[in-house]
Amino acid sequence: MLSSSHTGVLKVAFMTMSPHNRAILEFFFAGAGKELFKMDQPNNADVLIIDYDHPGAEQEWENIHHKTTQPFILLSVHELNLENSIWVTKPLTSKSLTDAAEQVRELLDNQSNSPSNKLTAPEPKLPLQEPEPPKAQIPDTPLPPKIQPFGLGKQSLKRPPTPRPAPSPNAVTKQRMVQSEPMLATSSFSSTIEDQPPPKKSLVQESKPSIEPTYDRVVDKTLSPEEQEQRWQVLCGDRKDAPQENLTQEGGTFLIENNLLANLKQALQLANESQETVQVQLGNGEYLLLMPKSNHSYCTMDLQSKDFATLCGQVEQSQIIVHQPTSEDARGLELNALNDAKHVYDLEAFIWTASLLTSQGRLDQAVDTQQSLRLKHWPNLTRLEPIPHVMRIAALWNESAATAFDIAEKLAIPQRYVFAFHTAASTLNLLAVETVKQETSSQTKPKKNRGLFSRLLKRLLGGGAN
Amino acid sequence: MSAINKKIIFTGPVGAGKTTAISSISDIKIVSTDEHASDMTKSRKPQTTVAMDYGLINLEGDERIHLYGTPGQERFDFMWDILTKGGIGLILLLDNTRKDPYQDMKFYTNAFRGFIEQQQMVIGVTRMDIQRKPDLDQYREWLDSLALSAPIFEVDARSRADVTALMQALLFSLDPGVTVS
Repeated sequence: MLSSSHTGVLKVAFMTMSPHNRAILEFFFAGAGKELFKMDQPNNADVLIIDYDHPGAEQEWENIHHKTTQPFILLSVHELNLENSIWVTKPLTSKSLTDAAEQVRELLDNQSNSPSNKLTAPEPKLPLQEPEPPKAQIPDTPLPPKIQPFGLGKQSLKRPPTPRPAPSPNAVTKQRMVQSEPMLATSSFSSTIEDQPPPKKSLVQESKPSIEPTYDRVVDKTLSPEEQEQRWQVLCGDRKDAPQENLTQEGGTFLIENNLLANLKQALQLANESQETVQVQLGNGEYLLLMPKSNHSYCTMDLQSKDFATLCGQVEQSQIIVHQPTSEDARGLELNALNDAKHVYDLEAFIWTASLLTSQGRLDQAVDTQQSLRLKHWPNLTRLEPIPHVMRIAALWNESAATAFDIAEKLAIPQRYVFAFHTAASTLNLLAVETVKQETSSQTKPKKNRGLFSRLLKRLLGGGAN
Repeated sequence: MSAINKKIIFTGPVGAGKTTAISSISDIKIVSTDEHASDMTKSRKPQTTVAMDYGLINLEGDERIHLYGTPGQERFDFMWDILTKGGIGLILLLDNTRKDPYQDMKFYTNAFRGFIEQQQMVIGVTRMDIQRKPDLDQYREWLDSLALSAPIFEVDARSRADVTALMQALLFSLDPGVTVS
């Protein structure tokens, strides 16, 4: 017989699956759906999930469905009516997945009650060894030329606006911010890994455009050079350099208090400490969620919108409330996020962009501009919204302790880019004070192979080939 | 003038994306020595690199950057010393879906520690879109515990932009003052 109770959590295993759907399902399983499904090995699962539109998936189902009594959940944009299988239409929603869980239970109950089952040996499950994955292929079509070599050039398809989910009814004021439930044990990542089978290699690009939202892609690679310049101006401002002693007088600083960024830092700390979802209510029914378990954030506002930029730039944000919902409310909020997945972002990428929009190329007024800092760790620059010179700033600040002014001077770049980086990296806790200031010169000293590196860099950026 | 030839080494466990990453940026069709896997490797992919991968980036004049991918399996580690001679940097690719990425990081950084100390390393973590945990903060902590410092990014080995970003981070780490001439 099947090992788990059909009324309890269903053990599931992924078969062929697109990364996007895998991400959506894992997000659902980690949050709203954690009492419905949990990951397991194929040979131990109650149900197998196949992304039926993915290359090779149909063949995989054909090959294995008659070898096992395990039911299948088939994800597809087209209606399917296949033996011992439940069709779940795309795009995936929490409701469709919840309904699927119910249908799977019914199937399993029917199997359990079947008279033939009572007389026969235990039902076969899939062997542990996975079917042979599709062979890796390099895409034939060259990637488009890049203006900025960071980020991923995957395009998101525009979708009609999703109805906005309602904010949590259990908001409390910032002053009354409470942790509604005792702190739960942090989930162990190692056990998470061991609970999951190694996914099959899936290097074949999907033959048709994904209809699912694209996670983790804050960078919009569809921007023209002019649009990219405009975006950088929104993120880093256009302020001219100012002498260190006159920075505030010349508009080079901002006050973090009563600003969205102050609330975000508070919320981030709370989320990291509790490992539970934290909600930040933004007023007018808008809100954002920080979800540390899945490493995602969600915002009812578009991160790239003018409204969100304006919100980040405003001071005196009295309407903003940081709130830790109860587990039940958090589940509801995560369900809403799942239904509006185009506004789900990588947590670090979200904090990075919100920090840049707040900084606009200025330093927090509380920063001691004389203090030497060092970059403890590089930000995840392939997935964060890029700003000019970001790699050079990271490299120099990682190599040697320096003030923001030192970095701008040494690299001979506008201060606003360094100040923007400083604000975002500080919010992410990547900069640390270093007490011993290193001997510095005004320019970086040429190193061995600089000429070669320069030519290689040029080549990587699209020029200098033979 | 004699030709300038430098090497960048790609390493990491089986299936982390070394061959794919080199293909993403090489000017030539890569020379690969893939064979059908006959051991535990085949549970992760049907073919694996048994000697090395080779790619090339042509620069102006006679300059060339040679891209070498090490075989992932530990039993080929006798080749690693040979491959790193004359190298300017190491790109370590780690697969986030493997059972213990920390052990992978520990193993490869230990195996190449001498080279890393002389030159520079960058780390790309692949398949984070498939499995979110461990996250990059966890990898950063692991680097600290190993007393190492290196740029570490989430990457898709198929993406030229991502592999280029790793290369850029390597170059800027070696010399933050470098600019496009």
